[in-house]
Amino acid sequence: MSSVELNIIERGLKGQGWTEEKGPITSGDLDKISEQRTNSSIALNALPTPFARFFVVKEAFRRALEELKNSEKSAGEAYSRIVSDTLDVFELLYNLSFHTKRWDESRKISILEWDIKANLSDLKRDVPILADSIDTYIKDDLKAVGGKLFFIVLSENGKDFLIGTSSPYTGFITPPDLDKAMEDNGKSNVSYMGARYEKFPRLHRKDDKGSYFNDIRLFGDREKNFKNYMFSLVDNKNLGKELNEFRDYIKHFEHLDPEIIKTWQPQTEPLRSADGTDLIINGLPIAVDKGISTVNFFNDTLIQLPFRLSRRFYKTMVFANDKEDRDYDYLLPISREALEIIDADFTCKCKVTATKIIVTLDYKGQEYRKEYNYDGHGGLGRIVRLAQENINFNLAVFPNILSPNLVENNYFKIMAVMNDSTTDYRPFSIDKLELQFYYKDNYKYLGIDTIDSGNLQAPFGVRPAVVRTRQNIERNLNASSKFYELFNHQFDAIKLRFGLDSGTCEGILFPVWEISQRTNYSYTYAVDLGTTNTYISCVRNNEEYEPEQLSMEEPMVSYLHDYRESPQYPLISLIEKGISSNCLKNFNTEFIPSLIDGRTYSFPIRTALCVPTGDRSKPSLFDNTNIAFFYEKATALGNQEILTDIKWQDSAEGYYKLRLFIRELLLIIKTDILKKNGLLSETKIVWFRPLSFKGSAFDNYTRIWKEESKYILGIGASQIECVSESEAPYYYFHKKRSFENVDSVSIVDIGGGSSDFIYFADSRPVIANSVHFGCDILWGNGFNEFENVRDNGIFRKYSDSIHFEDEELEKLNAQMQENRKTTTKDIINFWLNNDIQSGLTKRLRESYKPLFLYHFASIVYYMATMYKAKGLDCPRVVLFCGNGSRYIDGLLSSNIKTITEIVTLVFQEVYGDNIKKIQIILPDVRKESTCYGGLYRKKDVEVPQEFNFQGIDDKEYENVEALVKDFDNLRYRLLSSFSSFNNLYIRLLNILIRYSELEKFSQKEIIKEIITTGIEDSLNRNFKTQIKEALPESDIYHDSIFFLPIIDNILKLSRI
Amino acid sequence: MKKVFLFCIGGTGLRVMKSVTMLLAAGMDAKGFSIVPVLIDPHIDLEEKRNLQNLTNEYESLHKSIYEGIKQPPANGFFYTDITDISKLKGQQNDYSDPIAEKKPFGQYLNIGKLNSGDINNYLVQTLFSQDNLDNSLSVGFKGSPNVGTVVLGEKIKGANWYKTFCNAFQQEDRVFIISSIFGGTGASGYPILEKKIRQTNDFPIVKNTVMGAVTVLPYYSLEDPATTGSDIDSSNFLTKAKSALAYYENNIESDYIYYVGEQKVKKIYPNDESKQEDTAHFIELVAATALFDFLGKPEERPEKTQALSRSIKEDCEKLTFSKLGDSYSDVVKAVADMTILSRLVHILPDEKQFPLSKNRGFESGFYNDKDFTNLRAFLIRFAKWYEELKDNSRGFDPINIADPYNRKADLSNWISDFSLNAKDESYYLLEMIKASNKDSDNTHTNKFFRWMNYAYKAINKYTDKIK
Repeated sequence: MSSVELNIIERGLKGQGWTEEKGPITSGDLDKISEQRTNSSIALNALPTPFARFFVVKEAFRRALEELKNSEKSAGEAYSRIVSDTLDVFELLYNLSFHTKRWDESRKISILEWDIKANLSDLKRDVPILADSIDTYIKDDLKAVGGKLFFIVLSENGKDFLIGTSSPYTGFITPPDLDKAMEDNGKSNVSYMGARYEKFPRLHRKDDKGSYFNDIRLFGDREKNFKNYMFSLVDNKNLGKELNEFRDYIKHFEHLDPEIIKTWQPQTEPLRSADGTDLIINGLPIAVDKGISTVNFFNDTLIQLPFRLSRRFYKTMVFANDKEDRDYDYLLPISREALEIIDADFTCKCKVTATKIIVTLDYKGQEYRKEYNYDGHGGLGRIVRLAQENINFNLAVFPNILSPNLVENNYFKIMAVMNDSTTDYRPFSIDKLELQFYYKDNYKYLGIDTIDSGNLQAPFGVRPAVVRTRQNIERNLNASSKFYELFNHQFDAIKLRFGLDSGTCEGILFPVWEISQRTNYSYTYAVDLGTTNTYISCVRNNEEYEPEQLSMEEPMVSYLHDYRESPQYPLISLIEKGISSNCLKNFNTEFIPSLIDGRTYSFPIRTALCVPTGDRSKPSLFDNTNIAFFYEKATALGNQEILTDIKWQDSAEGYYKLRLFIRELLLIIKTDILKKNGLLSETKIVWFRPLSFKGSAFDNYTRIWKEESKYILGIGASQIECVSESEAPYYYFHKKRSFENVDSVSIVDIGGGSSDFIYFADSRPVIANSVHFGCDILWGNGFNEFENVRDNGIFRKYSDSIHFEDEELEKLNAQMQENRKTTTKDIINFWLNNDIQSGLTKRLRESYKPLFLYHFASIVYYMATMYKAKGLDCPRVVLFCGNGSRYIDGLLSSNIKTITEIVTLVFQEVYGDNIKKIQIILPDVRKESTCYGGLYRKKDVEVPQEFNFQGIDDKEYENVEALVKDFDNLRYRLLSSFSSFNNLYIRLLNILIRYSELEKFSQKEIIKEIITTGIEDSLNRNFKTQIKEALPESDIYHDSIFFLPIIDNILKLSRI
Repeated sequence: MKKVFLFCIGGTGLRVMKSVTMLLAAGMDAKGFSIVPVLIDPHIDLEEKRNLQNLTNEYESLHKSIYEGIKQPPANGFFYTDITDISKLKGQQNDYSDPIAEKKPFGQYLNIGKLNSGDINNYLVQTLFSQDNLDNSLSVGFKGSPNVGTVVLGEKIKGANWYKTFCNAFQQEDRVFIISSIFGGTGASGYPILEKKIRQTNDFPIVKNTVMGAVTVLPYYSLEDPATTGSDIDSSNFLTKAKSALAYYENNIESDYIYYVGEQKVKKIYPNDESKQEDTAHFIELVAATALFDFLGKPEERPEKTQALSRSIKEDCEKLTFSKLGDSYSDVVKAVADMTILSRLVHILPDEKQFPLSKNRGFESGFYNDKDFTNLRAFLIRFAKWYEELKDNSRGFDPINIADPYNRKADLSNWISDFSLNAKDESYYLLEMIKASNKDSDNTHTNKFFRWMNYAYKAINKYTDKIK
């Protein structure tokens, strides 16, 4: 056996006695020592200095390197843990930006400075023994710290945990109490040496694999970017020599780890303490990653929608192994932060497993990932199932198309409807649903600010959200609705935030916009805003095509849910089928239809607005006012009323409602143009005015059309044309070559509220006349000024007997009758518009032809006497148009011969027997003809002379005063004329009898009695109440007193 | 008389001191220095510490009994060197036994509680010390935490009365020797503090500039797994700690002579209980003790730079006989042999009726039943036990073949293994005692105990001196 030195190393000693060696044992000598390896963190403080911990960590790195060089020299678990924990401090700080964005407010990292001068002095005062010791040793042991230490402190729910202290030897050290208890070796959850760390939170690593200060992860196993950052940190000539062991450990990976790239470019920012000092530790410039990988791409919550998200209108999650019958979807859990940096296309995928959902984001060749489960435990995100929360929800966006001309994307309305089906206690309210809009600027998503309505300076923004309806089952309000309006900018993402009882959750919608293509097509739209109905037609400019009514094949509103198109069902019903029944009514009554398909929704529509009950002082489109497309089709919500008196306004508030009606029409027109790839800027608008529109009414209309067209379509006044309602049809039928003779043509436009007459001689409009005597007179209550009066005989006769098979219509019928504000005119129009179920037409034909004849005859008689009075030839053609004229062939007689004979007899009565044959035209397109005609009227056509005819002669009155003065004279002659007309009417009845349109009936004498009795009183009374007392003397009277007793007679005839 | 202040720090310091005491008892040459031990260990009520104190007290008592009043003392002998209690130097009456004893937990001792909860210094404390460190009572030492020991000892040494006593008692030729381990808590922390303190004692230049030596005991044993014992001390870290400490010391040694002793491979596993530390005597401690004697032989002038010294054994084996130890261990072997032979003489002579000195020198039953001899007998029992521990430990120090004391005919020529003594049996020693008595003409004293011890030493030395 050879001699052995009594030492921990062999140094080549000769002899056994005490022998001087070459010197004290050095670090170099110590490398030869193969020591025992320990898994324990107990008592690692080996050095006789209070700063022993610093050396322990340094030693840990030395041993870790030793193990790297020789795998048989295991560093031991205790030291491996220290190395791992120290690297965790670096990594946590490097990823601080990443983590901070994902931690809630209860967790944060602070970097505090300990200054040797100030803080050691404090320590000397309070803990002098320790301070003295520190003072003794710090000069030697920590001379490289520059008089400063940095403490890295994690705060969690108000409790602070020291996780690291700067060290001149290893950058950082961890506190000994953060070391792991030996008995926990091998467990997934370690326990810490110090009781102060009992509640130390699990800090999940960036890659969600394991947690900081918990599991061992040595340098080589760490994330590529972090490794390169660390490598760049130590590949730095300013490092202090004290860092050698640490540096050598990191640099050893240069040739060992293919992920280390020497050319790696850091995207970092200096890390600073709370006092603003850069963390440079003995030459190590500690930094925080600001690269894309720090971005928190995901929300902590994943919102499950109870339906599939529309792939057509929204970017959807790509499901791995997707199933056909999947009936749910997820809002994309893309974070707000991600929105701010995403500058390229991305794909969001999800994989559903039994216990969790793995969401990945493919972006710029990188895959980012987050896992979610149903309880959010284990560091995973939380899945929020709206169905589980009893929430039905949908969103409608109008319009769903963009113009390629960005400035034209100046208006978007978004309606959110939600129903909380929780019984008894309803935890969720519409107030807890918030939408935030983003637009893409330089390919990044930027938030769109909310701009108060009073702020006119903001170039674009979102108007403050408006809750229109709050769920209230007792008031028949099954869902709540909320509106957002974006002005002057499109949006490219919507963040939805639900404040649920289970916690707040967020998700993102990325709309997939349809983009209108740039073409040279332009269109002219004609809008006939009638008292009862409104019609829109359009024609492509510079082309000789038949005009068309506005209708569309594709939706103009995007809903969230997906639907499958089927030729068997109307698209609208397919769309609506996908909306929760509790929410559907809000969409249908408070918003715009998903499309004007020409079937479920078609023009003409009722001129009606849906408004809230109660305060209507601040009308705003959709927020509280919208076109009641559903009117006469479905019941309103409990908080809604229908306004049908839109056209004739006499107040600023009334005109504003009219403006909103026109605005909505123009928005539809705009969408239609974009859908047809038309040029908005080349659009022309034709609107129609009654002849009676004079003065302020005309000015108001003109201003509204001009301003709204400018705002919605961006067109100027030169592209807006106003055409007389009366003359318009002529141009259409003239274009269609409908007239057998154009020497003298009379156009009679019978609307709901008025009838217009225009006489064309040789295709030139000669005179025009308008009277407030439309077909609605038939359904009204004469001159009774009480809104809620229901004297109309037709209403009285059928109100109890008319019922509808359709439950909704039956309900609506009951509602209208119960609502005293609903007029008999509206109710009867509702019956007529749903005639298939009400059967009213058939009943009216059977019982009320004398009434319709009286109405019709009075119009023709009035027309004939007027033309005669003006010295015009008896017209060769009389064309009846206007929606109101439908009663002629619909209720009076469908036989053109009968009508022709009636008209001819009337003209013969006025002009004498020698008149020429009169061509009567009752066109198929009735209301439409006005619109169509408006499209063909040439601008240079003369404007017809307006003639106010009082039923006697061609005398026109300067104003009401003049009329009143001459009333006695007029009355006398009118009574004579009425007498003649009444006699004529009896003869006209015979025509009906002769043509078997009317059975011989015994009531002829009664009718005669009705129409002749009290006619003078009627004239006097109505002249007094409707003209003398109602109108200023200076006003021009644009109507005719001829109809004053006629209206009374019609009411009386309705009661026979 | 010149003194060496022997600072024995921590458990290892105590055990090495025990070996020093035993060697001194056996007559190891302290080169004319008296020994002033200063035991530095925070343990209160540590049995080992009490035993050592008892041992040195007994030694001192025997030393006095033997040499008191001797005007012409011999050049050497059993219990020859004076071991002096520091408290008795220059009339100081300080507590010698517990110069650094402290009962409070470390945190309380520091008064950490005075820090406000928001004080940033709390984080400094948490950086430096574990909660266990702060909670541990100092009454059981530093539990293998030299970072704690450094703070406490630093404070305890700073301005301590015993240190002042030491300084005041220090004279020109006096020296300092420090015994500590490097892998524990107390020794590892106390050594550099003390060394630094001495070198910074500017008020006492002779202290500051004294020749100073130290033996640094490196790991040589291990403890049972703390996972099963619940101890805070994990011996698997001993080598690591030693390595760390050595690296730390590399540029911080201020002693003139640094002696390293340890084992390259741990041979012994002790029970892990820091409150007892009843570790049996170990050969390494004995070797460490020899460092003191080597140091005491060093020149009076300080060397220009620190000299590091080590020693080896001739053969790497479990049982160290003389030949396996190597000749350089002859002084130690001789001392142990001398003391064990003395023990045999102490055993047989009280009953040896024919021994002529019984009558000539009055070594009769009264003498053998006297306090001094009784004390000697007791000490020798301790010595025998100590040697047994050394012998039975791993590695075992086993150079002596102790013959059955009841076998009066036993062959004693192989008392030292692998070495032949001329004294074939006990009669050779008895005869030499008689010769020594015959030559003794010193009538200046009447100390029979001295005479007996002197004759025994000379008789034994007659035969064992051959080993040197």
